Amino acid sequence: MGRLLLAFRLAWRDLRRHRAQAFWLLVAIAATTTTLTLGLLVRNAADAPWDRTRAATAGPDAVATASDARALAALAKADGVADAVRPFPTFAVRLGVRDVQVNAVVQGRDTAPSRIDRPYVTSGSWLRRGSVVVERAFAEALRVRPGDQVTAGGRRFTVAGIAVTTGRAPYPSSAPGLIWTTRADAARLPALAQRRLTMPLRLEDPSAAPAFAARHPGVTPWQALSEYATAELRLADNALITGSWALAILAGLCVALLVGGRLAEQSRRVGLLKAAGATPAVVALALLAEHLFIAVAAAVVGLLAGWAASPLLTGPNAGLLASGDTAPTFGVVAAVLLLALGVTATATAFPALRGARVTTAQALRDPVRPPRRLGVPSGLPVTLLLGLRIAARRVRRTVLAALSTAVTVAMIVAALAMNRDVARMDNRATGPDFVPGAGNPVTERVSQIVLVLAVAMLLLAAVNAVLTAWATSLDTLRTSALARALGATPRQITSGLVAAHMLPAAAAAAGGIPLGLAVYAAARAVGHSSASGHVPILWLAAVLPTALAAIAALTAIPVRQAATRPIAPTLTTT
Amino acid sequence: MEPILRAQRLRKHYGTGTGLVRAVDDVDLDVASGEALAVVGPSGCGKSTLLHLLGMLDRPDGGEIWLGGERIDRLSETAAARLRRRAVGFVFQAFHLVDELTARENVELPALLAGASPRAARRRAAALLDRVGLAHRAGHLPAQLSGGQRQRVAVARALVNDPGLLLADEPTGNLDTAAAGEVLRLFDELRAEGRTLLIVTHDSRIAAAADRLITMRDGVFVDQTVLGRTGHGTGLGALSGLV
Repeated sequence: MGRLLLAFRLAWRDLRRHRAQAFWLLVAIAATTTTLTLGLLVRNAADAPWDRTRAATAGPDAVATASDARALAALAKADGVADAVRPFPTFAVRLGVRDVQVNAVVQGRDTAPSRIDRPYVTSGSWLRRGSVVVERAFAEALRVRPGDQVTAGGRRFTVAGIAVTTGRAPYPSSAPGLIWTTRADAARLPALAQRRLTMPLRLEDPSAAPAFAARHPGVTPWQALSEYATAELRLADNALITGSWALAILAGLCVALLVGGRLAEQSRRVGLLKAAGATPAVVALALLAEHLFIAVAAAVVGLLAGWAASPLLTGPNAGLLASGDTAPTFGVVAAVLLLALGVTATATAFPALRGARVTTAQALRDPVRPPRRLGVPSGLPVTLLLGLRIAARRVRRTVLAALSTAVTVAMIVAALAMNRDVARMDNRATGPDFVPGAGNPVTERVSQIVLVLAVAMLLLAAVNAVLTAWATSLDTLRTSALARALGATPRQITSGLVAAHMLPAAAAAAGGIPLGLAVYAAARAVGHSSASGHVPILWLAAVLPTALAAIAALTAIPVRQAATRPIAPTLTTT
Repeated sequence: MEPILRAQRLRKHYGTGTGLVRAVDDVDLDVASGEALAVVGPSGCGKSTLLHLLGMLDRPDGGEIWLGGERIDRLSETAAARLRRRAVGFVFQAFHLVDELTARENVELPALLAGASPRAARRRAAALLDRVGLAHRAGHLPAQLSGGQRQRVAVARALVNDPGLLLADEPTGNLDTAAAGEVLRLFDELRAEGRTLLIVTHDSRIAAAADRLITMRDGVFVDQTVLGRTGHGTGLGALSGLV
């Protein structure tokens, strides 16, 4: 118990002494936990708006479409059908709103509520003669409100209301958009193409709707409609979960780099603790406790931030009713806590145990591990040679930093590829069936998420680059001071160490490009996406120098800071 | 004769209030070209701080330092580094060799930093390592050398740019008797060549062989003794048989 208390006391004191490091660690882990929280909340909320809207609209279990009324009449009596209502005439017309002309699908409806597929009016009122009701997502794109005047098939109508339905996926998942008018008005409108009939069905077994649809041509099960209607939430969820994995890797690297650097800085402290009688277990426990404390705090921050931000993503598109509260469930809380603690414990355990195993004399004598091999040939510019030799001594750190660079570049490339595909989707969403100038809520939401994930990843990558440089500069304090005592300028030291960082970073960044394309290809394969994933070669070529320039700039900050420390105190204390 | 090194009212304090430490307190010093000067005193008297200030490794709180007629106490970090590489050689008690570099590369380091071609730097390093008797250890890392060998490498490194001033901080402080003897012989040769030496030590036997001896206590010079040239064969190296 006493040892445990000592370990926690040491951890707490160290946390208070290194507030900046603790803050950055908290940021790194919290970025990951926030993303995971968002991903899980979006996943939990994806079906809720559809279910709520389906209940409110007496949504059909299947929707049959045909041009022959007798075929639909026969279908209404087919096995498995529990109920059916009189088919609605359905056809395309030209809709005019102010100076905008766009195709629309008209359904002729009774003025009385239907037993099945009863649109839920969210503003205004249901149909009366000479009026139309507009599906809500379509109305948002058209920017129409109850009372506005529109033309359909050349005839003037007043917008009576705005409504949602689950009888058809909302605009633009289904295009053209949907308007309802009375059967009488519908009969007088000129159709752009063949008139058809739509019949919503209630099935005896709603879960068997796909099988029913497979047996009867022209029938769409509610599951397919649901998938279309919540496509953007599912896309957002996939992007968030994939992003969470990438962020978890980066956060893990961040923790490992920080702990490694902290050990380089605290080698003497570890030696003093051990000289005073602390066992390797107590030393390791102190380090582990410190980081696990930060991990728990980061998990709480991530849960709260993710919960606060979730309405921005879990809110359905305008075509469905909002799902209400999205509070994290016990499962979400447990998953986020597990991720934070797992990543931190994994990343801390190895360097903490290694640091704890160092002999007391070695820890007290020299904070820098003695070189075991040269690895780097001489004949290079002297400061670069120094930097490379130092990097060669810290193989693990070099590998961690390179991994961080590779993962970041890979995810940026994947984000570029996704962004490109989204742009292509937007380009395809043009023509007479789409409202000119109206945004696509599906692609807009995905683009926003990709942007947020990219920013989070860049933030973590930047923290990692700074931490790597910081840890290296701690290792090289004595060597740098010595080189400066012998005539090296701070600029030479900085440029040498930064250049030494750049060689593995360049290799990692170059490797990150095909890795990113592969990750996106895999994601497309898993999601059965037909997107091409093609990224212009010039974009890819621009990623490499941009990433390296950013890494060089971030690395130079702590290295330069260390290279300008007073020489004499550094030489006498290291 | 114009001194090669001059310090006027040189001051370096640490801490404040009751914790104030006057490491160097209004010290005046002239070092003539070719002079071998020893500074002695108990631990913590300010000897090493004085050496660091004179070698531009630390900044004074007050006073002036002139090296070769140039004022150096207000130089920027970069300018100080450039001046150090051509004008000052250092030998430290803890050797301070770069762990990552071999003995030869350590000796080459100041030459390369000063802009010498790799070939010229290698030639000079080889000659100096030969002079200090370590040609056969040129490819070894510091960790593979004994204390005496490391200090001889450090002496070779200090000489590679042929500096006008050599500063040594307890050069035998970490060495056993035999190793100290090897290093003292080297310093004796340098003194005989007419190099300007400033050696900080608390070993009075080493100091006795200098041209001038300064005793320091609590940051000030409390005594100066001109010993004069002791003649060939009885300089610092002559003491190697005594230590």
